[in-house]
Amino acid sequence: MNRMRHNLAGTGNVFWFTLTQMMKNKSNLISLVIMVLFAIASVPMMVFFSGEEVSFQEGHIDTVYYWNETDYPISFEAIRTMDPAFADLTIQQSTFSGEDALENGELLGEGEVLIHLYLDRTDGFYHVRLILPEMEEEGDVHARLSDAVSSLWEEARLLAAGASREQLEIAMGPYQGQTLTVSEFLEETSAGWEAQFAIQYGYAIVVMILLMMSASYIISAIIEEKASKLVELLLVSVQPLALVVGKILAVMVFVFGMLISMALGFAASYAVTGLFADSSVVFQSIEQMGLTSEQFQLNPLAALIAVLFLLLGYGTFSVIAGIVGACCSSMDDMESANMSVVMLVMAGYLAASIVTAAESKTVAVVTSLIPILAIYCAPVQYVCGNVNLAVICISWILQAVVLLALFLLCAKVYRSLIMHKGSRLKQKELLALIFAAWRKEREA
Amino acid sequence: MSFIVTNLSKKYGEKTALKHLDLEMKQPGVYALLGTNGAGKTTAIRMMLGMLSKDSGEVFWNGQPLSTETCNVGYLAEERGLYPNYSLMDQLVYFAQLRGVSKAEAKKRIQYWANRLEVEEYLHPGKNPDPDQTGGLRKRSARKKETKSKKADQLSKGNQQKIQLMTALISDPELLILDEPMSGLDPVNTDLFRAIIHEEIDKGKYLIMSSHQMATVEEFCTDIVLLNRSRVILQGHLNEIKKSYGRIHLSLKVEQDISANIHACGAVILSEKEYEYELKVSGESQANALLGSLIANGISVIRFDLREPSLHEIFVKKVGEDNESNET
Repeated sequence: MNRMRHNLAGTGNVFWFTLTQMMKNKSNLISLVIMVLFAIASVPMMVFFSGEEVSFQEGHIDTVYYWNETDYPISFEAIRTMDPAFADLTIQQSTFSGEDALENGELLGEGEVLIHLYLDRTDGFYHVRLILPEMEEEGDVHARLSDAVSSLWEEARLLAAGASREQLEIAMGPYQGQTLTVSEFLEETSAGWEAQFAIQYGYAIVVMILLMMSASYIISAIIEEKASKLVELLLVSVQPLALVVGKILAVMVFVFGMLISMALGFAASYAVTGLFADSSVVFQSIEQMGLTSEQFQLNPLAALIAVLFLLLGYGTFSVIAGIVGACCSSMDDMESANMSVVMLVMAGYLAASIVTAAESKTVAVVTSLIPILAIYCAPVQYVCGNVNLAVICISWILQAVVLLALFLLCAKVYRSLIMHKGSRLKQKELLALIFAAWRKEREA
Repeated sequence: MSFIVTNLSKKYGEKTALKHLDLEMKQPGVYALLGTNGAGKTTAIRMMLGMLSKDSGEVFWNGQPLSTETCNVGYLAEERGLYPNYSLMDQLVYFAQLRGVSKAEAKKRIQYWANRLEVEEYLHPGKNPDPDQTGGLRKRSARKKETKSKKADQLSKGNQQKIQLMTALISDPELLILDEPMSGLDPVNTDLFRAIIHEEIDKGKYLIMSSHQMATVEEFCTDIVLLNRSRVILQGHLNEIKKSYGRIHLSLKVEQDISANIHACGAVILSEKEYEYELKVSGESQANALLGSLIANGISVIRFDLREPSLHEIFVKKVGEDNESNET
């Protein structure tokens, strides 16, 4: 314990210095700003591309005139109870016709609309028309008013046909249309599979970016220190383990901070966009993809599981990056060092892409247990219900054991290689060095 | 206080990097680690500081194994480095904090050493700028840029070396290890470094110094250890070593050719340039005999300097002898 404390003395100083320098680095700051801006822009973009036009809700409709030319009596006053935005509407029968309104724009002032219901006798179709003042653009609130009036008219038709209240409730109940192939219909998994694939794919991309960025930062920080011939100066004051742990923690805070900043940017953007437009379309789109809390275990436990897997997985990959960085001594080796970690990151990403496609619970369990793959697969497979909490717990234990072993290995390798100069060590040389250090320790 | 190294050895595979190095400093002073290139000086220093694992041997400070916890060590490495893209001020504060110096104290010490080493303009550029010179209307961003601490890659090699010496001294170390401290410095900065080293000696510090500049070593050191091919070939108190060689070097300046007199008395001419001779004599009696013969022949002697061999001469002689014995 005392030895470990001695080996880690100064970690705090290394951590703060590395973090501060990362924050002062212009390219890092630019990356951070770009990512936060991307998160902020994503909500309005999603709203825009979902077809929901941005419009002001307040005072957009003040007065509703109705002109019912059908035979069905409609209680237009009920509109006020159908949407909070309609609560204060002035609703009155029009004294002018739709044609009058069209010909003379002055008949409809700002915030006024005319609802015209009629039967087109040429085609036998009933029409529900919403007529706006000239120069007024149709917004979300008009669409909702149109839906509300259509619903009232439907209700009036059914009541006129003699439907009881109960029958009315059944007939007016919500429904959803779906198109399925025969096999999809038989398996009844279509929506779930697509949603699972989407959630696994999206999550894997986030994890891949996180790991690639972290590994690159760690490798570059370690090689920079060795290439700058600074190591000797530092080793008078701190142990090699403190140097590598300080860096790993600093990069973790920076990268996770970047993710949190993006999430906060997204939340702020969602709140601000909501003032001007219906930002709920973002979640509606997600729900349309089938990502609902009914289908998935989206709860605080799932969030905790994801965070723990991210931390353990980050630890595993960053310690590997530390070992790879220690094998290099010049910035020329940076690319090849990065590549070896990227290969591992990509392996996890590919496994994540395959695991859902395989549609096998066995594959889901196996990939959730393998340490390098677990960060990608386990949280999503738990959320999808393909692995249970017991598998998650075993995976945590396995990951923790592997992380500890890698950490001890990293300490040994980093200590042995910190003064290493020359070309990057190959795996064979690295293994020989590890065995030599281990043998020496045993002899001692 | 004491600094003791016992039986320090290191092998890389079959190659011996250092064999059985012992040294002992029971009082403040300067111990010189001398040796040919690749003799094992830097390896010895790295092993003393625990950067390299030892095959055998111990290093003690005050009877306890030397570590960051038992001894406040200042180290100027042979391979000097600084973070090229970080501000010098940030780096110095960081190095000081790693050595347990508080941020506020570190800033005070940086100020002192920056002033002493004449690098203040790189750490606090544009401090107290003259408004007439900087231009009162100059943009704030431009002024801020001017007052920002410089980065290492904006400094000359000599100035970088000064910053590195600052990092070694910033924690006010008890034990100071300087590996080739003067290499690459111009004469003005060499004098500045020499003055600072003298100050540290006067403060009662323990210094281990490795250098190829024998004159520098001779100026500071009380004890030496000479390494050749990873082995100790000479060790001890510098004055005693010199005394053991006797006064066998004679510098002579005359106004005419005296080669015949020199040969007659049996002395060996090492070099000769315009009647200035460097001779090797067997001892004081031979030198006196030569002087007597010159006076008897009416030759006027402008300079007659009989002395012990210099450290440089001892170094070359010992290494040459060792290499010869190895070859045979």
